[in-house]
Amino acid sequence: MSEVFVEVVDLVGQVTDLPAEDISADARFDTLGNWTSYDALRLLTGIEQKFAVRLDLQEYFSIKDVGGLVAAVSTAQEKSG
Amino acid sequence: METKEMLARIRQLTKPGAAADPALLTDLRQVTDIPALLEAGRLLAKVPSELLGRLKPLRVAITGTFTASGVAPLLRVALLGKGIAPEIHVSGFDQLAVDLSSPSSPLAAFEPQVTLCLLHDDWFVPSEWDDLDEFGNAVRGRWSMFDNLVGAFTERSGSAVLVHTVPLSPVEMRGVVAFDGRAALGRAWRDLNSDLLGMALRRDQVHALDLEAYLVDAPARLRDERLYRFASAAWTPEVESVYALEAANFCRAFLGMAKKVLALDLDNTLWGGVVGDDGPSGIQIGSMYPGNAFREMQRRAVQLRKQGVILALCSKNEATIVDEVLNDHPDLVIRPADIAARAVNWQPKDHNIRGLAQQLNLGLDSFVFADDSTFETQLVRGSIPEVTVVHLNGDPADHVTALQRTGSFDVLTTTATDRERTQLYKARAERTEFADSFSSVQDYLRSLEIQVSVREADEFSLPRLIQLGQRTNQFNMIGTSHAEARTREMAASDDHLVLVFEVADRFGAEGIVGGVWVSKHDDHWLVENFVMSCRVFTRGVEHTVVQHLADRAISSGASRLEAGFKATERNKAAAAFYPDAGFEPVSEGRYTLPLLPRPQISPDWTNLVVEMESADV
Repeated sequence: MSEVFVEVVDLVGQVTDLPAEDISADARFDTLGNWTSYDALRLLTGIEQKFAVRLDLQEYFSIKDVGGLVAAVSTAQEKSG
Repeated sequence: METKEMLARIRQLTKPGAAADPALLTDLRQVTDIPALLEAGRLLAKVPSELLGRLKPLRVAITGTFTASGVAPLLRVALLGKGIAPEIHVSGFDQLAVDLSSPSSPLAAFEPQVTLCLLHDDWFVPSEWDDLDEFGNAVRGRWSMFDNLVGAFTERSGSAVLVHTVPLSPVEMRGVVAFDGRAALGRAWRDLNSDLLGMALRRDQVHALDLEAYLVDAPARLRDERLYRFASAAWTPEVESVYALEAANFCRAFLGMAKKVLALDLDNTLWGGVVGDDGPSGIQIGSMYPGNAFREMQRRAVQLRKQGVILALCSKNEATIVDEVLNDHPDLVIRPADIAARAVNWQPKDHNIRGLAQQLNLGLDSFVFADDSTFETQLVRGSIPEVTVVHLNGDPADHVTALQRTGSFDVLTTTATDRERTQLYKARAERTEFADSFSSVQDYLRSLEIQVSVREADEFSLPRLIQLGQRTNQFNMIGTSHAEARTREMAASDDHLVLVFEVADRFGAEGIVGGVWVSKHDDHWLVENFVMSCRVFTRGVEHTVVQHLADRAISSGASRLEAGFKATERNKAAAAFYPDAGFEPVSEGRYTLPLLPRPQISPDWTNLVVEMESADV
């Protein structure tokens, strides 16, 4: 498990109130409890602050699962690094 | 990860039947990370306030012209931290006009005590404009509508309303290419902000927060264009945070919960250096750095006094030398007339703050205590959680900002009586005797894990010891110091002992803070002098060092420890030490302590480490 994965899962857990153990890489956002576009924005803000990256909003909203988000963060980190 | 633990603690409180966690709000102050604060605020909305301590309730409504989803959770955290349990109503997107005009709106039904109106630039800016007169007229028209809405709302609802100045997006400003044009645009915009501020002066129940001015001091972009276009979020989380903190200060002022007393330390808080050691002429205060930074601190303290804040002193010092500085030092701004009550002595500071509260007949929750020392600020924080503690731990030039940023003294208005308050309380303090109940500082000292390391002075430590001897006037048993040559001679001699000692605790290490000069005789050892920085005074360090000397003298066959003492004007702090440690006076300037049976001098909360001990012959 990459460091990025662990931290992304932490943030997803914070936003959804789910325990980190229950969130896997293939967990789809639209199946998480009470997932709304407002939660998606809260997660975006948290991710961008935590990793000091900026994600493309359209790409972000097309991401379906946690693994996809981890990949997007890693790519954004490489670009900014 | 502390933030994670904190969120887990809050989550625990949301469960049915959870046990109270009154320390949570204090611990939550350590969290500054905005995403974590947002989550904390969101979770805290589900926590019954009685689990968090005794808090004052307040009904706050938030309405606005844009989406500001972070303001409510951030405001909740900030208010809870100030002892206020808010019930918060958040209106839907762009409901401002409906909320303020309709007597049957959900906001009106909520019956708020305070209504926060969040405004953004595009609500005032016309969607299309070609010349600046058109722009100015449209903005003014919008404002006038807003002003009428607010006026009618306050009359109808009785709620207080907080408006704010609105920063103009750089996109709007840079849209104009002519510098002249930008100047005209900027002026028209400032007219709007001036009108917004003016509402607070014209209408009783309307108050204003100069957001544009607060943002000057914040590392914040106004908005994230993506989130503005996608979700009409006109503020970044950083701006939401600045707003929430200041709005929370407003709410505290609204409830009349402003702090009343500023209790100030002296050495390295109101002036640089240690007056007991450096002397009145040796302290740093004046027109040059860092003296000017301390002067600014004094100036701001006096400014508070003029607006009704009561100033008190809480300092470990000799009262006479402090009097001398306050009365006679030419560069001081603060003078005895500014100070309502004083606790200048060697008692623990938590005890002194309780004493000041009694003298002034004010609650401990109305106190702000500012000190540069980690030891003192942690002591007071732990011992009296009601007191707001400001730790002035950075550069002296940053002390004023650290003090002001708490907004502790913010009130809605000041009156003529505020300016005379010091006189009133001064008289009150003079009538009331200082209570002599002794507070237990020992639990705190036990928690500090104080370690005293003693070693014989060597080439590396001698220069520091000699400097300490010359500089230390307060905890100096003979008032003078052994000359450098004599100190070196004693350090090299088998018939003498020169020790230095360092102190460390869980907050950090202080380095070499003192030393002893001892001559060894067959049946007794004589402590010729003992000096120690008063930074570490009253923590049992001096007792631990003398315990070490006594034990060492016992193992070399001596039957008593003797100590020289000479009273000076400055060393009153040291005068009580030998009697306190069990010594008896034998003649003028000489104390003695029998070593059989072994005396117990050291307290149980210090840990002694002896380094590089050579055999005593």
